Amino acid sequence: MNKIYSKANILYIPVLLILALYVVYPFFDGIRIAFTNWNGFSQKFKYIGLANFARLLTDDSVRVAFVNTLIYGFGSTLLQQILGLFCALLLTGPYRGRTVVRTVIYLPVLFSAFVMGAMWYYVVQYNGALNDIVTLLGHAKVFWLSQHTVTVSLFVLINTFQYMGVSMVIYIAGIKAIPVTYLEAATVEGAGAWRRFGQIILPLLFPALLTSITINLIGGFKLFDLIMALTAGGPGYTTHSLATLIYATYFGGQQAGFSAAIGLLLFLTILFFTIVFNRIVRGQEVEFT
Amino acid sequence: MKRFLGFLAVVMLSTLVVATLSAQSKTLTFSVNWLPNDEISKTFQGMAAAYSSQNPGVKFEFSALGSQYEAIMKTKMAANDLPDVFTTHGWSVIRYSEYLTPLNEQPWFSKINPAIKPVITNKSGQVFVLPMDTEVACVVFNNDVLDKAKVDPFKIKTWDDFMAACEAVKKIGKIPVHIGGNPKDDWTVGNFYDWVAPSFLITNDKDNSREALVDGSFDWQKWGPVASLLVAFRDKGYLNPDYTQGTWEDVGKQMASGDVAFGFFGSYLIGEAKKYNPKGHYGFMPVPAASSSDSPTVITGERAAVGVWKDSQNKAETLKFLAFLARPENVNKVATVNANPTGLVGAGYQSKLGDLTPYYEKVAGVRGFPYFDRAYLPSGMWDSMCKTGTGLLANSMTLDQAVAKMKSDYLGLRNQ
Repeated sequence: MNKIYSKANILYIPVLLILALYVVYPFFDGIRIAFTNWNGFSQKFKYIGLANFARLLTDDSVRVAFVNTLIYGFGSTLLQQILGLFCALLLTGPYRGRTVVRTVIYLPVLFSAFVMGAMWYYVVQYNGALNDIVTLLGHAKVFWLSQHTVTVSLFVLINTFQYMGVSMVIYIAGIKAIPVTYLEAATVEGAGAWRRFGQIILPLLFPALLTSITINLIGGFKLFDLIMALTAGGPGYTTHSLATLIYATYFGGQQAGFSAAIGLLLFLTILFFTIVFNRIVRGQEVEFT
Repeated sequence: MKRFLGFLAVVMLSTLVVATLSAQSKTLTFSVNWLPNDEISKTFQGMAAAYSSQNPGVKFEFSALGSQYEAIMKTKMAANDLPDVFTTHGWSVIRYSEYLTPLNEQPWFSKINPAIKPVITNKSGQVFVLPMDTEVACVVFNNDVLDKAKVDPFKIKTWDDFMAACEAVKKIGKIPVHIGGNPKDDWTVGNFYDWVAPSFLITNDKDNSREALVDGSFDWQKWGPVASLLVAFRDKGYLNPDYTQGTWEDVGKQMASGDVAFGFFGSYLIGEAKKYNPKGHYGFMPVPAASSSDSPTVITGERAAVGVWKDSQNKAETLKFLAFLARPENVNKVATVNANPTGLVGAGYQSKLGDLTPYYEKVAGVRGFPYFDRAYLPSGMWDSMCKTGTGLLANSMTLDQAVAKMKSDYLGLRNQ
C-alpha cells in the first residue's frame, strides 16, 4: 500500500512545476523588478534601491487607489454577506421553486466581470438607460461615471450583485450542516426565530462565514475587469483600484518598476486582512456537544 | 520492439518531410496598430496578399491589434519576441529603435520626404522605418457649420480668436469642440494637449521652453495655462455636453452629422466623418497661437510607418517586402487612405487628397513642429497628459494636482 501511495506522489510534480513557473517565479521576479527603474519593454534598466517603495507613500494616485481598494473589498464583502445570508436563510426552507430562485441568484457569478461591466455601462453611461429615466422625470442628465462617490458606490453594488450568489451557496451548505435537532430543541424551549438565528445558526455558521468573507474580500480587493469595462480607472485616477493602477502604471505609464511595487502593496494588503479576519472569526467558532 | 522501431521510423520520416516543406516556405509576421475593419488595416493586408502572390512560398500572419497594440508590443519587446514587420505609430525613434533594423542603406532611403525625415531620425542619423505617409496635423472643422456661424477659419490666429469663433458656433446651437473625453478613450484628451501645448511652450521663437523641456529644467508652473485652456472651454460651454463620456466614435459621428464645428485631431478624423457622411464638407486649419506675437503652426509626424525587427529570422525577405511597400503605387495607396501627403517623394509619388488639396496648399508654408509629447516629454508621459486631462474635465483633479502629477511623472520618467 505504501508503494502505491509513494507512486501517487509523483502525480504532484506537474502541478508543482506549473505553480513554480507561473506563480512562484513571477512573484519573486516581480519583487526584483520593484527595485528597478525598468520601463517594461527595454532590455536596459538600473537598480534604484527603495525609490519605488518610497514613492508609494507620496504618490496621490496610489493613495486614491488604495482607499478605493479598501472600499471595493470591505463594501462588497459586507453587502455580499448580508444579502447572501438573507437569501440562504430564505432558500433553505422546503418550498417549490427554490432551486430555480437559487439558480437565478447564482447566474451572474457565471458571467465574466468584464461582460457584466459592459452590460452595466449601457445603463449608467451619460446617454444610457438610467439617464433616460432621469430625463423622463424632468431632471438633467447625471454624469454617473464621473463623480467619485457615485461611481465607487456603483462598483460596490454591481460587484455585490454579481457575486452574492457565491456567499449564498456557501451559507446554504453551512445551514444544511446544522443538525436539525438543535433547532427543534430550541423551538421546544420557546426560542423565537431571531434567538434561534442569533444563538444557534449564526455561531455554527462561523466556518462558512470565514470561507465566504475570505473569498469575497480577496475578490473585492482584486477588482479589475469591472473597473476597466466601466471607467478604466478614470476620470483621472479617481476610480482606480490597486489592480487597475498596476495595469495603467505598467502599460500606460511605462513604469514597470513602480507598477511592481504597487503589486507588492496589493499582495501585502490582501495577506494582512485575510490573516486578521481568519484570527477574528476563528476565535468566534463554537461547537455544540 | 519491432513495433516501437517502426513507430520511431514513421515519426522521423514525417518530421523530415515537414521540415523540408517548411524550409521551402516562409511565414512573415506583420502587425499594425489599427483595428481590423479600419481601411488602413485592409490596405496593408491587401499589400501583404499581393506580395505573397508575387512571391510564392512567402506567407503572412497579419494582425491588426487596435487599442491593445501598444500593450501587446510592450510585452513582446520585454520578451524580445516581436513581429518581423510592424508599424510604429509615431514612436520609431523614442520607443522602438532599440528593436528595429536601421534602414539607411535601403534603396528608397534617399526618397524620404524631407518634412518627415527629422522626426524619424535619431541622434546618430539612423532611420528605422519606411514612412508611407507624412502626417500634417491641424485643427479639423466642418465647413458647413462654420459657414452657418459665419466663421472664416483662416482668420483665426490666436486662442482668443478661436474662442470668439466658438462663441459664434455656440450661438447657432452647435457644439464648438468635440473633445471626446471618455476615460476609456482618454487619448482624445491627450490629443488636445498635444495640439495646444506647443502654442504655449514651443512655437514662439522669442519665448519658449524647447531646451528646458529636454534638459529637465522646465518650470512646470508653465503647464498651468495649457491645462487651463481645456477647463476654460468646458466652463464656457464650448465642449460636447457629455464631455466626460464622449467616445472617439461620437467625435466622428457628430462631425459628420454637422453638430460639431472643430476637432483636435489629424485628417484621419475627416476619414472617420466621411464614413458616416461622405458628402459632408470638411477641412483643417493651422493650430492657433497663444499670443499675437506668435503665428499659427501645424504638427508633423509619423502616421503609417513600417519597421523591421532587428532579430527577425526572415530579415532578407522582410527587407524585400519593405522595398515592395516603398513602390509608388503602394505608398500612394496608404497615403490616400490616411488623407496625408506621401512619406516618400519623387517621380510617381502622389497621394489623392481630393477636396483636401486646397487645405494642404494653404498650410504648405506654415511652420511645422513635431508632436509635443514625442519630442519634448519622456516616453510614458502621453498617459499622464491623458489622465490629468480627464481628471480636470471631471473636476476630480484641481489644476495644482494636475500640474504636480505631470511634474512628478516627468521627473520619474526622465530617470529611466
